[in-house]
Amino acid sequence: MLAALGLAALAPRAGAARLTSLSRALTELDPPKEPPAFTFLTAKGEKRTLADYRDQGVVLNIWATWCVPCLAEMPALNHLSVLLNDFAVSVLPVSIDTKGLSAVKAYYTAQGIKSLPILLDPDGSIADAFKIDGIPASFIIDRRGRLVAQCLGAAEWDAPGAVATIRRLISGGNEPA
Amino acid sequence: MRLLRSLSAWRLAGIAGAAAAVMLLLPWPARAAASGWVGDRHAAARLITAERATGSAGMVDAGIEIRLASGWHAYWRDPGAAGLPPAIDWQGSRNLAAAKLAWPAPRRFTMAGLETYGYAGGTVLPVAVTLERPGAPLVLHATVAYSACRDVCVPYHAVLDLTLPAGIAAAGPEAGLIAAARAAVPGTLSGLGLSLRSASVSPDGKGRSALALELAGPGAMLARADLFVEGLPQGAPGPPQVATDGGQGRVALLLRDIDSPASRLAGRRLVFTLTDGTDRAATFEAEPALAPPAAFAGAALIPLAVLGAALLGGLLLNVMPCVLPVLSLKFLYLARLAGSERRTVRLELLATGGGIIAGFLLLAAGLIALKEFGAAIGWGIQFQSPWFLVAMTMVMVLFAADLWGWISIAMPGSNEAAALTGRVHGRHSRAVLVGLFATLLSTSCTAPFIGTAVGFALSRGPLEIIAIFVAMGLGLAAPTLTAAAVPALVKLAPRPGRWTIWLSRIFGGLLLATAIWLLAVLARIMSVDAALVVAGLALALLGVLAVRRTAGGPIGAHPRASGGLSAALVLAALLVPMTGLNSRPGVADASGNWQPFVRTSIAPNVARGRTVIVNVTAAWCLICQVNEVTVLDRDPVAARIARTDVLAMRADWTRADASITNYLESFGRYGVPLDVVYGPGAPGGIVLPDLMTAPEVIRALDRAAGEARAAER
Repeated sequence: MLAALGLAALAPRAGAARLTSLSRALTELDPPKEPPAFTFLTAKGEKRTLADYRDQGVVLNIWATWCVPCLAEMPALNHLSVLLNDFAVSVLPVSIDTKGLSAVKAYYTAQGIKSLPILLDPDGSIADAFKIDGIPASFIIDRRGRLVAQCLGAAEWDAPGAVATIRRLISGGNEPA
Repeated sequence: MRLLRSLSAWRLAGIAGAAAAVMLLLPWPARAAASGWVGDRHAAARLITAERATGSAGMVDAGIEIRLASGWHAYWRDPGAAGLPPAIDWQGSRNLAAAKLAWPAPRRFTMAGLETYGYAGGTVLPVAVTLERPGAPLVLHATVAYSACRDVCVPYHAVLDLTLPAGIAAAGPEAGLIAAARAAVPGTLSGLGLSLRSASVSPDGKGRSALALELAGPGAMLARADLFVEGLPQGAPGPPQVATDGGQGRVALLLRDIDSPASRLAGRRLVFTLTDGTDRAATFEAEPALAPPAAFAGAALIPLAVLGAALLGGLLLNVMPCVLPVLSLKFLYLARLAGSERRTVRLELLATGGGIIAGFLLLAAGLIALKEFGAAIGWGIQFQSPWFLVAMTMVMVLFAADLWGWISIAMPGSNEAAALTGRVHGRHSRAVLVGLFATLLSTSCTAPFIGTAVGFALSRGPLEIIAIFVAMGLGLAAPTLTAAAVPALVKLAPRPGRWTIWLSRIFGGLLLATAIWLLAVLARIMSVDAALVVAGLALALLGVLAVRRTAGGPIGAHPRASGGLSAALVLAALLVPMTGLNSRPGVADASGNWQPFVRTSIAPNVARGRTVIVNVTAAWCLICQVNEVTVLDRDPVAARIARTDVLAMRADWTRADASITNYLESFGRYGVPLDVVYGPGAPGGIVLPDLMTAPEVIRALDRAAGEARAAER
């Protein structure tokens, strides 16, 4: 009886969706595009724009705590930011939660997300700027401030090879992968 | 979107057309009992009513219909892990006294290990509208906010308008939709022929809890049941395990791994919604009672098996590499004693045994104190302290000097007391110290059974900790105490001769090697500079002791001066941990196949079908190093871990790290090594043996990955 219960618990759940591999989820833009102008806020309420991350690569992720696919990839993004620690790439998850700071903070605390900054856009203007239908949506911006790749839906950000792909993209192809 | 909207308008026109003949006979103007759809091609919402007019009853059956494209879903009132349930604002409506929303039973969606509850394909949320003035027209103005998700989520904001004229409340074309939705709203348990016998919650020993419901009634229909719980402080549990007793009229439902401690759930009002896998559902409330899990029954007593494990583990520590160099000293001292009085030999052995047990009592006392202060505790955590490392380094140097005959640490029968060992006066103090240090060093190893015993002890109160640690001490001291009981055994030892001198030199070298190892650990915990400074001071100490010896024999020309200088060197070394020679707290380092440990990465990776291996290790844990060198970092395991479908994470516990301590505790462990393999076939993890072999690791990796392959077929 106990053994049967144990087996039932170990059996994979039907309908468990898996994250799409980054290489498949990512659409590279050739030629790169100028990103739209957008702003967002830090946890302290300070305004930020892309200019604040000049000379760095940026992985911009638009998400919300009520969005399951966003939550599904958040640990992978957290892990990615650890893996990118030494490479001058900022992983910037901007939440469009209308509840703002409290919702994001509660989620970070509950999930032990420690390597990502809290960034907010409660009126969702960033989603309008990028003209996206749904979230999560991610954009990779290279060191020259150009939009080089985008990704709609959740992706496996910490998959093997992801760091190399992102480094190649943000360096504008000047650095060997 | 426009295309779809016109299509549904055509469909409406069709239905309206079919009813046209009836309508023509009626004296009031026909009105569509539905607003237009507002949304896009993924999801849209509209307002509907069952009646064409307000009638005279003062009530109108309305509904919010949400249409969803294939693969999309919207959310129940409790969305589970995440989701925006539909929220409806009736502001701007006229002749509306109240609008009571009902929720059809949800179904479960699982994505990357996250459980959500909602509706696929579409749903109608019935709304019971009460009129302010029965018989007067009704103007409904609803602002509906909700989210719909597939691989992305979209927030929707639909403003819906519907006017219902005054007149006879004849059924409109949407009446059937609303009636079907009402039928899907959960009823009572008795409506399903069931009754609740008990609800209980119990801790699972990992900080989470399990909820159990026992129902009476025909259980067969619940074989595919699902259970949703509202009112939990946090978390969205997965599907229940259902056990029926084959016709006896009892059903048990068990929800495991609820992310709240049992104490927070006990007595809390929870709302349960039970679905039978078809279209019948019931909602009921219960306040679960706290129940001890079966495994914890009789927790007040220490199971004999645990004491046995402690004893056996202690015994096995005797042959572990952490203890062997120190305890082998014992053998040497005994050989030197051969031929002495039986009483001396016996006392010497008892002193070492006492030292060992005193060492375990010291460890137990330290751990109890730390636990009382709420600090993280564990087996071998003294190695995380630079003071301990420095002190043990200096002690090893002094013992080496003793073995080489440069100083004498309180030989039995000798009148000279060591100036350098805290002035421990006594005939058998060296024997006591050997036992004490053997114990302190032994914790850098874990022997088979030690993990079980320590895990049990540290999760309990002071009495249990002391009892189990003393049992481990008795195990480690068993060979010494046995020899003390039967001193004739000592006579079997060879007579001392030149070989004892050679052996002394070798053992002295081994102790210095131990000191070097301790310094290597210090280099990891503080910095290489700090380790080099301590190494310099230790060398200077050796130098002073050597000069002291050559200058004037064991007594020395200036015993006071050299003793003072040695004490100063030891003291200086102990000051090093207080200096700023700390390197910055390490950024988790990745090496080779291994990535830094991030606990939250485990579940999503497993949900994606990857196998995850977690290696919790520490520089001071000798068994961990053995595992790494002989198994983990060598083929075939290294090749297997390098594969892209395997995520290998290494958690370094060399320094104190609360998140790693928490992870260890989730397995009831308080020490390293801990190696766990996860995969679709083993989402809860397979714990590898402390001392592992390559085939065991490969088998565990296969098992963790294996069931996923079976499921894909």
